[in-house]
Amino acid sequence: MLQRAPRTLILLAIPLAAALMVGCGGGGESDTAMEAVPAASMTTVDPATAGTISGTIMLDGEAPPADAIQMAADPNCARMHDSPVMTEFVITDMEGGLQNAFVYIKGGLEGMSFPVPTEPVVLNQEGCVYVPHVLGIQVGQELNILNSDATLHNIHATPTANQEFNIGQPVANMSTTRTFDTVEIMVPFKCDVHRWMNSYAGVLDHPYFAVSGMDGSFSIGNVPPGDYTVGVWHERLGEMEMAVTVGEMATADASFTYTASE
Amino acid sequence: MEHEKQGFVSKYIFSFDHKMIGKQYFTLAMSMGFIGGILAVLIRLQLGFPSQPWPFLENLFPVGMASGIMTPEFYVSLFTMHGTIMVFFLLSLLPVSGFGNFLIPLQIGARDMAFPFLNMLSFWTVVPGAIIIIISFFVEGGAAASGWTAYPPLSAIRSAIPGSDLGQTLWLVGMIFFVASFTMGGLNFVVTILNLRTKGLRMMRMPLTTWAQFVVGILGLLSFPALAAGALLLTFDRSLGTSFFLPAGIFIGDTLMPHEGGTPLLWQHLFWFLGHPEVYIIMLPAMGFTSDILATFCRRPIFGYRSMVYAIMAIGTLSFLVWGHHMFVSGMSPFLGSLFVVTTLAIAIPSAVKAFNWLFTIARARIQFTSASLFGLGVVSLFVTGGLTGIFLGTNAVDIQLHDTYFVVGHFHFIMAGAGLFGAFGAVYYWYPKMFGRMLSERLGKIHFWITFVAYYAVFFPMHYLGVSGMMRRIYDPNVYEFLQPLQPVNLFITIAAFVLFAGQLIFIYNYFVSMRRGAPATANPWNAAGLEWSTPAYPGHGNWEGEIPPAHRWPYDYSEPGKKRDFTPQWEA
Amino acid sequence: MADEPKGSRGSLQGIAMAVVIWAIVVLSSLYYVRYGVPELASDRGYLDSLYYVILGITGAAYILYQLALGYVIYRYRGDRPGAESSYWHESHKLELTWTIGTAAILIPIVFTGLIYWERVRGPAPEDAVTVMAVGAQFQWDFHYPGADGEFGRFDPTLYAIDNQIGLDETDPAAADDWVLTNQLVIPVNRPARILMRSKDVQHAIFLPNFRVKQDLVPGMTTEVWFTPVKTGSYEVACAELCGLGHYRMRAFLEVMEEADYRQWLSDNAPAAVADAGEPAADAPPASAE
Repeated sequence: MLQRAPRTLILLAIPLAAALMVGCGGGGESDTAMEAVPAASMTTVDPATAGTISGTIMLDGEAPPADAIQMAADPNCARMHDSPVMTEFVITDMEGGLQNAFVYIKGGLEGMSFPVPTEPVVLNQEGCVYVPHVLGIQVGQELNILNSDATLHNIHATPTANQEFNIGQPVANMSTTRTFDTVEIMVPFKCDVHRWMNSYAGVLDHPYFAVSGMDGSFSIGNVPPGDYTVGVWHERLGEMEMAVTVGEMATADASFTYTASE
Repeated sequence: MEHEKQGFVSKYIFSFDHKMIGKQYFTLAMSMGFIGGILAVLIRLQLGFPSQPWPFLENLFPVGMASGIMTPEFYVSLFTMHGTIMVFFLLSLLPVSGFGNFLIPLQIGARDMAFPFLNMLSFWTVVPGAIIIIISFFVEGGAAASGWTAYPPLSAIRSAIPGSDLGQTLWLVGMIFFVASFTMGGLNFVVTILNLRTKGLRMMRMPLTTWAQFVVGILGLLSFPALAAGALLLTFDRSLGTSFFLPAGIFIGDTLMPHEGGTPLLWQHLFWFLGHPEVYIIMLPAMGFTSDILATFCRRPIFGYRSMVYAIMAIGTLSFLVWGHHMFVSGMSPFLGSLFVVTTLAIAIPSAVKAFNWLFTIARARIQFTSASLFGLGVVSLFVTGGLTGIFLGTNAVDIQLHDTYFVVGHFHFIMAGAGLFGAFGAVYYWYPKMFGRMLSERLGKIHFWITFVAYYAVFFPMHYLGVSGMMRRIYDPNVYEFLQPLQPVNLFITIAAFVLFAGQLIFIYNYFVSMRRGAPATANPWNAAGLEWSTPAYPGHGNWEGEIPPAHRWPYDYSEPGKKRDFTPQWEA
Repeated sequence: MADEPKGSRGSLQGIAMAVVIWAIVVLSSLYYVRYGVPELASDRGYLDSLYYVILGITGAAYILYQLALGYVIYRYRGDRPGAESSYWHESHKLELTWTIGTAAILIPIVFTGLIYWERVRGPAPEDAVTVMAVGAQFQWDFHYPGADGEFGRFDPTLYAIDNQIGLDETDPAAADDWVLTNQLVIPVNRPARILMRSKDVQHAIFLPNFRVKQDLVPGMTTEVWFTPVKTGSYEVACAELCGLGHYRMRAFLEVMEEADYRQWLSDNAPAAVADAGEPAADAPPASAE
């Protein structure tokens, strides 16, 4: 009986090895901040020659009317608002300036690399709405997700290129920090508890992006002179792009106009 | 039988000796049970003090308790893994794999199990399963978080909850290892009991513990493959894009899933086809231990031996016909529900038979109060309490309100977990001398019993109040609901009692490990018990008996037979 | 006996065991009656009656058995004077008594339960108000069919942030449909029929005050019906683990007087009551009022 023991060792090694493999496989895919670009190859932008890209995003036609959000679905949310909160899918001002469009340099920066800002971008959950509704962030830059509400929010990011995450923040003032490791236009965020809540982050490997303001205007500064493709993205109206040449110390215009569908 | 001198590895690690394998199971099960207990403490911490910050815990769980506050997804992982670990890795491994292996050859007069190699293999198959289950806490997304029942689609779709990513995969792999091990064990039990009984040991002369292990072996062989099949199909759904449990139109994380044609109810049927027999896999050995322990310490034959055996068989058979009572409100056909009510309440009859037989064993006895007998009496009390609450849940009309509330949690912690755990404790106190050749400290054992018994009632009985008041199970913070807010004092009380209960178990662990070296040396038959296992030397070696295996001349319950000089007649005496 | 386990005959353990068991029985029973089922607001009071009958029977069995257990432990403790145990271990009469006795108590419970089950799970009355509950992580959407009494078609490819239930607007039946998030409003004293479906994982709708609980299963439409008998605002819970926000999947059920319900309909969903006052499928036939 006992002489057989060594052979059993081999048999045992199989499940143990399998266990180890599964275990190690698990440990490998955690840290995303590791892939930040090394400092040595950074592109330096000469402020004396840098130009600006600016413009206005317009909507031609009638914006679809915003609806009142049924905040009564969670009394904790309803309590925080005196007047109805409206949806933020398409917001324009009187002149048709379109808010919350994400403008960025889509092409022309190939081969350049830029430092990752140490300052985190903050995504706040306040009054059961995401503030801001659209944001831009660099690869490797910290995204600080803050819950200012005394109710559960779960921040559920559903990117396709980056790693999905889903984090519950049950009480007020909880915050979580995440980073993205791949360029992606755009990463959607949702709260599954309050399904009217949504937000988007544009993840880029450079700092040349902006979100259009209340009047639809935007400005991207410190751009090295050159030829670029500028892209714009809007959650309901889609994407457009145009070619732009930025001269030394010059301001190039990159205004876009969306057409409202019936 | 002659034995060569064994090296450390072949004696303590890859041993073929059923006793050593049994003890290996004890160590594994107790380690897992300890972890499961810590998880329970964390669960209660949240329910007693909802979302309070505990900064020191951040060091242990940097993600789940970021800034010291437990996240809901971590809470879900906690009770998922608490259930999984306790049901499978403590309450199945300790009484069945542990005591089954240790006791069956001793009680039936065999040198070893029928397949010693298979026996060793089954232990070393469950070890990686346990390791994988523990590792799953430390992977991205955390451990599985779909409940110990792993209902799809929550368990099937990775983005449904963080734990459904790698954690759930590891859970499934761990369970497949467990099932493989348990099936090997069950086969070994059945073959050993059928073939290796000593001369004169007819089936109807077997101790009730062995009877229970025999039926458990059959239950395991027939029911666990259903879980294995389910787990495999679920793995396919998760990894290969099949749709056994997933219908069309599932929309999670802004994505419409490509599955179509399956149904989650299929998983529930497969799971509970195992799940309910599993409850009796845990219960039956505990019932057997209790019967043996009570007979010994009441100095009296077990009352109604024959009906006890029939009850074990009836419970075993019926346990395959009741799984639907977990699914009364699941969307299963209401007619089917009615059918399962009848079978479910039928199982109350053999259970009542056991309860009355125990009562009549204790009556007209001369009870010796040892730690073992106290735990045995504890089983009787818990079993009746838990059994009676089952009548509410088995009646489908009443189950509508109580289903998935704390009433259920209270119920199964009495009947399955409580009776199972107390039975296992009683068994350890009773058979420890045979396991290690030394006695456990009776003083510590009694302290352990009193803390455990009182705290157990204090923790789990008030859960019925919560359930009747409507508190759902598996909720992270009941105070979200206005109608549950008045229950917070009850939750706090339970939490404090749970801390005491957990602390009490540390006494047991201390006693168990220290007595291995420091306990008073045991004699061959320290309790004056009549069972065949007590005919072995004080610390039996490989092969169990030095000379011939003694034959069985009688049943193992001849205590206080009139006209005998001693108050017991061992089974091996003519 | 000289060779008995040390300390095992101390009377303390036996007496303590009896006292503790008795104390547990008394305390647990006394506290039990302090916690009742949530206030009843539906016609399902008969389920409560059955619950109390079972509570009476099992409560009595619990108290009697545990008291008896405590008593025999006390009475037959090993150190009592003249302690002797009996070899008596079989009595067919006794064993038959408690086997048949248990069965005799259980059979009426089973049959009453089955009759009530039939009543609860039987088809809903014709005049019921029908609402479709759509469960999702972690929100309830209550889909009202509108004046035509027909639910517009839904299509999972249409699920979106502003179309939670995936309603197909091109379906004529959808024109007067409307959706309430986490709020369900129904009239009192009229059967309410709740159809339900899930968008993602399993959920269960739990109306604690109405004795209603039913799972939502993806790929299936399940249903439940009941009659609210009391106006007021009640909580709706999810009772089946559905994810990290399971504990917050909470909605509100408002039960209104018939007239208030009509008023509420015309205030909130004008399209749905274009012909307000006329008994459409959604409105009750005259006899129900």
